[in-house]
Amino acid sequence: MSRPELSRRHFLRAAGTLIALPALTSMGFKAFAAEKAVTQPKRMVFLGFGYGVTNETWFPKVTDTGASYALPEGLAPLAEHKKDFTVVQGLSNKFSDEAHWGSTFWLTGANRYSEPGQSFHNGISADQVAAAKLGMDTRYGSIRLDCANAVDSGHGPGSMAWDARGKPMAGHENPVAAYHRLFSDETMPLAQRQALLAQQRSVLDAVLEDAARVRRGLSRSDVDKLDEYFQSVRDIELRLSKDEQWLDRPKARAPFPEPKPGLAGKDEIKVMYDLIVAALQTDSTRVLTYRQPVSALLASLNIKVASHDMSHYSPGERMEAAQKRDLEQSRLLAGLFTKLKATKEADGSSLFDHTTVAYGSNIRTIHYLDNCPTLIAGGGSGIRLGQHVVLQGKSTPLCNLWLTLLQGSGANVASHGDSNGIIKELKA
Amino acid sequence: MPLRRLTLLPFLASLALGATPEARIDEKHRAFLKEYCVECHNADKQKGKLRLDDIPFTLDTVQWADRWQKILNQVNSGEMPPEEAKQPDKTAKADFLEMLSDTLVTARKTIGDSRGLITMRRLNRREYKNTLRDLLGVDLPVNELPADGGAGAFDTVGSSLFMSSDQFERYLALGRQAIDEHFIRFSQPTKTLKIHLEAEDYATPRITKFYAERVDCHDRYVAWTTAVDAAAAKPENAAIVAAIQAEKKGNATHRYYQWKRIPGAPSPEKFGFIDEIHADQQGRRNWVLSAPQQRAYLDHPASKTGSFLTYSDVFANPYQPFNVPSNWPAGKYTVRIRIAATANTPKARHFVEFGPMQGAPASTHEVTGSMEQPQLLEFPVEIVKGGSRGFFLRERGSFDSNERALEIFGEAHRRNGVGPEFALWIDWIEVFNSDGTPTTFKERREVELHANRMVGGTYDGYYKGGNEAAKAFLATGKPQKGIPDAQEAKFRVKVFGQHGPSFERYLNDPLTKTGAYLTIQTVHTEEVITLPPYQPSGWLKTKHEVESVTPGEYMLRFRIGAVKDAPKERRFVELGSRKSGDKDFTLLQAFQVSGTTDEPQTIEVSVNLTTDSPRTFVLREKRDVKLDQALYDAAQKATGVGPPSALWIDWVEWEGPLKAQKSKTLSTSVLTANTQGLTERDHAREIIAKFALRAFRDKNPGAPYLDKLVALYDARRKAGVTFESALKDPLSVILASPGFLYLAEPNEEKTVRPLNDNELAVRLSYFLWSAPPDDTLLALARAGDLKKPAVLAREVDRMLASPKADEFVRGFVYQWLGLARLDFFQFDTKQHRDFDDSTKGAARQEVYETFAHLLRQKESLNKLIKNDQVYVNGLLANYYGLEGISGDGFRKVDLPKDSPRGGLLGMAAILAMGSNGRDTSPVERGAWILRKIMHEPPPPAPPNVPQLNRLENKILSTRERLAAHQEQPQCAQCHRKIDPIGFGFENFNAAGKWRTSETYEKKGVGTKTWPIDPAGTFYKGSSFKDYFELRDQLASKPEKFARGFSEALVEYGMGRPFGFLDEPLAAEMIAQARAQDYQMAAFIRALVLSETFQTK
Repeated sequence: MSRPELSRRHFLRAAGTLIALPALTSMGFKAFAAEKAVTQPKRMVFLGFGYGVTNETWFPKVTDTGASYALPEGLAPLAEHKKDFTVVQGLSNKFSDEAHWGSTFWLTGANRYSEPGQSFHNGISADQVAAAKLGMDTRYGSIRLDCANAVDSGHGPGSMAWDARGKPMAGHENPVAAYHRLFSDETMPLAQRQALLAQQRSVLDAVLEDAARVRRGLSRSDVDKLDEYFQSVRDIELRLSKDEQWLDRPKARAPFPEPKPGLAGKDEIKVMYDLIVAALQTDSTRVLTYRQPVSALLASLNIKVASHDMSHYSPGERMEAAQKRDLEQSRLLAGLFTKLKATKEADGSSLFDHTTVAYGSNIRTIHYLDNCPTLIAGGGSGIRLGQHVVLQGKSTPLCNLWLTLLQGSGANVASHGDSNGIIKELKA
Repeated sequence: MPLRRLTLLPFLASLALGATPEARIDEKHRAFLKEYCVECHNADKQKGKLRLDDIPFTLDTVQWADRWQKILNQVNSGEMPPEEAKQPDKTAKADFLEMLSDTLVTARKTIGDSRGLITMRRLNRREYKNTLRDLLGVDLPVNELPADGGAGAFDTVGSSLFMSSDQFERYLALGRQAIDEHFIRFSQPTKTLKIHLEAEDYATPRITKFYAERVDCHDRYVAWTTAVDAAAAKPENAAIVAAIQAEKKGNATHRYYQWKRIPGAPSPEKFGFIDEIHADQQGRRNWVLSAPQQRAYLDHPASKTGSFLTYSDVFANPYQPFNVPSNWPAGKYTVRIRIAATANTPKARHFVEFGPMQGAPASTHEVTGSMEQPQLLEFPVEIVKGGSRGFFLRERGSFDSNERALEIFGEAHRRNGVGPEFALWIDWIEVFNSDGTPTTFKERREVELHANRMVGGTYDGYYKGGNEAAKAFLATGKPQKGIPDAQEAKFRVKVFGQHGPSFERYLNDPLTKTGAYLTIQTVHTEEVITLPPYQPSGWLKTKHEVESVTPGEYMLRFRIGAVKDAPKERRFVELGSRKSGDKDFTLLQAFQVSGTTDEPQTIEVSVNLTTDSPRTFVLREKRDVKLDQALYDAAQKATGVGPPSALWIDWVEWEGPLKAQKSKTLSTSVLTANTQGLTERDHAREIIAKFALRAFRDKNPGAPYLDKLVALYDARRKAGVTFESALKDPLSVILASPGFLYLAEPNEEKTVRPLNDNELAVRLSYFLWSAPPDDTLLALARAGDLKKPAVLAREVDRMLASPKADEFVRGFVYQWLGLARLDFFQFDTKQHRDFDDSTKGAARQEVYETFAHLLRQKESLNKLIKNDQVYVNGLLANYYGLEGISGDGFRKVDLPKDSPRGGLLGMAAILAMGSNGRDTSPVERGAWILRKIMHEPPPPAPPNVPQLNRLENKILSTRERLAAHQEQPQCAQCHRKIDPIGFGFENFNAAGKWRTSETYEKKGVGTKTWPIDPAGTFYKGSSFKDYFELRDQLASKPEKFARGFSEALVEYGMGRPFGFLDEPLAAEMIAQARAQDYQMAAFIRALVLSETFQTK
């Protein structure tokens, strides 16, 4: 039997039984894998924090670039990981002019007004471009995590993830629901699950019949609208055929028990980060987005200032709140990096080595939409880490960064959004 | 898109062409460009590849709008003109920025205008929920579905309502849940066994007969004794009679017992008695003891329609027996009775016992129904093979023992000569088989049992016991139970000192023998109403009548009173639900407590339970619990005990699931009976087809679709599940199908077409009810009558009058006025103590109630700006300082002349939105007034405007702080309009309370107090000296407000943004409304009757 590429997936498929992945390294898999070069899959994680950062204390000095830059106060909790991430300054989305929309266009770079006859337009987001390439072999093409009242956290309307037609893709607001989605046990016997799949197909068949009836005689724009429905059904069909492929393979076992219900703010972000690591570790998906809560984070830090007021800080109580927010977010992010590093791949490398984490917002601070705060970490897209890069010129499209990361992760697209090239300064 | 614009033109012309405004910059502004920009941006010197000498002043394409946007952004960000270049003066720059911002808003609107195009709508989250409710009678929480709306659009706007695979799956799952719960609620047993017994049919004839016998006996007894007396009266018998009489002095009946010794006296046998003993018993004693009760019974009019339960005497009605028919199979049945308690009897007698004949009572139930409004009671009975089929109903304690019964009867008889007053009356008794039909349960719990066990146990064990053990430890140094070391010992002595007295006070209060107080911080902070399987606490188990309860509507009741000296603001109780743990609390409703501990009141509220919704409901005093610690500590310091309790609860109760006729969500079962002898499969198809037709709002789903649904049924049926279960799949699939989820109005033509009657009914009902059309609307549509203007206008009025229109009020007002902001921040209740969640809830409700009242009472829209009445409940009246209003219902209240309330501007909710939860925000308030009242919305806050340096370590008054807005032209362009209006509202604090001065404290800097200065001037407009003048001036321009209202109505009702083609429509709506004194309903009628509303 030839084995052109041995991935964890193949191993699982061959084994055909449930194996807790963390056990792999201890089974001597490492030695076995070392016989042959193993390519670990690339992963991408996009973390958005809505209402920007504290301008004065989050950004490194623009004159202090390169590898030996001094870590600013707001990033101090990330000190132990300093050589593993890069801070980029000088990126922005040129069409953005909504001062409270930190995530709506962050990954798309789209022009809201570009379609005559419509008051809102968006394009595909970078994560969905990645999902189209990296998500083929996983149970879930992408996973979107979200928070309640995202608008109140400065994320703007819709979603962070937008599909190929520029429609928002809903995410899981609730860690418990996300956990079950990823890891809930399938207790149903195989034959019954097969029957269920067949039944689900018949269900889709029935609704499509009705969709075809409704479609008759609709105007063009209504047909477009109904296409969302058809697309939803197609997506499910796709998932069903994936499910079919995966029928004899149980869902990955969660590396930790079900999260407590009702977590909010700090604890909520922490458990969502754990879920991100778990989803990558079990190879349930390779692409994730997360709109992090801001107002709930403030509440969990016992900060009385409302999130929007905090974002419009001036020296004093509000600015202190903004800085506390930065510190806690950095602390949480450091925790995520530590976990990603501690999670070993089959070949002994770490998950962190094959993952790209993009961390930022379309809002810099207050009402500023230029120089979007941007921090890139992980070895997934082969960029230079440990750097502080200040790009020349005021407005390098943020989409140039997404393009650089996408290409570096093996999603070979020629352009993204309003990109006009890759960022050479980031290439290793 | 451009194609569509062209092809729509013929229709445009028919409306009013030329309404589309042009986004054009006036030529006069070219001078500004020339002066400050063109030097670097011209044909020769195109800095930044930008030429401004020839830039077009008409912003009619995306490209030119984007170019101008860039220019605006550059000037806003302060980058242009560059520092070293010539700078415009502040006013000129602000004017230029204002003009350009406004022009860009117009340009974006013009270019983005959908030209009247309506994008097909999906049911939004609210509509989906209501539609399930109307269709299936189940009210599901639908939080699983993503929130709708976004980018500033109403949640009815089709182009902003999306669909995704996740969402589709949630529709499938929710649809399935709805069908499941519907089946639980509405499934009917396949064959019904039922008997109905009128109670009087048993008792009244029986007593009538017995009484007739009594009369007969008594008559014969009188005849006999008269004859004996006649013999005794004969002179020859005088001696013997005197001798007999002397044997028992004062006993008038003795001579009749001795009749044999009186010559000539007739034998009782001649009068139908066995002997003299029998004659006395039957003819006299019974006449005295038994007959009066029978007479009273038969004289009572209610004995004609029901039966009273009496005491002791078997010739009245001491127990009401009934039988389950002998041919009914063994199994579970339900007994249902209609029963009442009389008004003139003590509550202690209002209990009925139910049990098997010749057995002990199986259950006892309190009777709360009155003779005017009897109640239904239901008890389950189980008939076992060969077991008893006879049952009785009797008054509690009426037959604990024969002696006891006689004693009670005798006591009453001595008192009134009749017997115990009738306490319970039964109208009828039913017995039926209860398979599949949920039984209604009712459980009342006297709260003191649990409360005292818990409070007493905590006190005895932890505080008192702990203190004693700790003292023993400290005295002897020997470890005691629960006291391992000195640290713990000292701690326990300390906490005993802190909390012991509060526990003692509670336990020593006589009212805790009959009820429970609600306290603050500790002791007994809450009371719960728990439905099975949940328990009130871990301290004492209650035996629930059933192990679990089914989904449905339930009634929660509790009897509550306020303590005598409780201040007004503490006479409110909050009811919340609890999912898990002992802290979780989701506020459902607050109630004002008008009862006292002497005369408590009963409060009831219905709740809707789904399969997984909470079964525990919590009662607590209305307050912000975050402040508990501080309140407790302060009181403890001052008085040695915690704050006194304000509220006391007597008992709590739940009842349900309420039957359909009692429930608000009335619906019929989807499972219709097979009346035409169809095969099972055809019957299934009929059920599916009928439901699909209803779910699709009278649109025929077509045979191919039904075939596929029936195939789903077949597959399940083949897999061996029951007929009903097999139907669940196809029925839930209907609820995830496009015919259900989308409001489709087909139109292939490039021109608009009139809606058909059905489409109009659907559009109308989702506009005014956020729910599907009812039978009346559908019938009018089927008959082709709906489009007649008179009919349509009448329907609008009918629909607005219906409670279902509350959905319109909430859905529309919430979005129109931007009420979401009220929940964007937590209020600082340290600063605004009485603006707790309940008050905030009532304040929000005031907005809806006011709108609804004005709408339904045909009042003017202008009353939303200024009104001499408010619509408040007791809670809010108290908050506003209005005297003499109590109760939880909102009602119209006349305001004192000088009141700042009345209309939106004086509402706590609106004012609170113009704050950050602690301090006022004149900017938010001013911008809100410009947007909503004046209809001059400021452009969106521009990005990248340089932040101004603030003076730190100085306390500035609000005006001083915001003065910075006027310094930079980038800020001033909008804030010169916004801020002065906001200052006019400064007499209201962040929580909407009136104030005349403001104090600000900054840690480490100091405190500053300044008087409120509300005076101001509208930008380029009139001046006002205070809030009242400001309000008067706003109220004097109703047209602007009417305009904003009309545009919002068009967007909400049409499901698309208000477009330039709608200008004539808005003008027409306002014109029609103006003719009717701006009556709110007139705007809606004008919209519905317009051509726009009736075309697609």
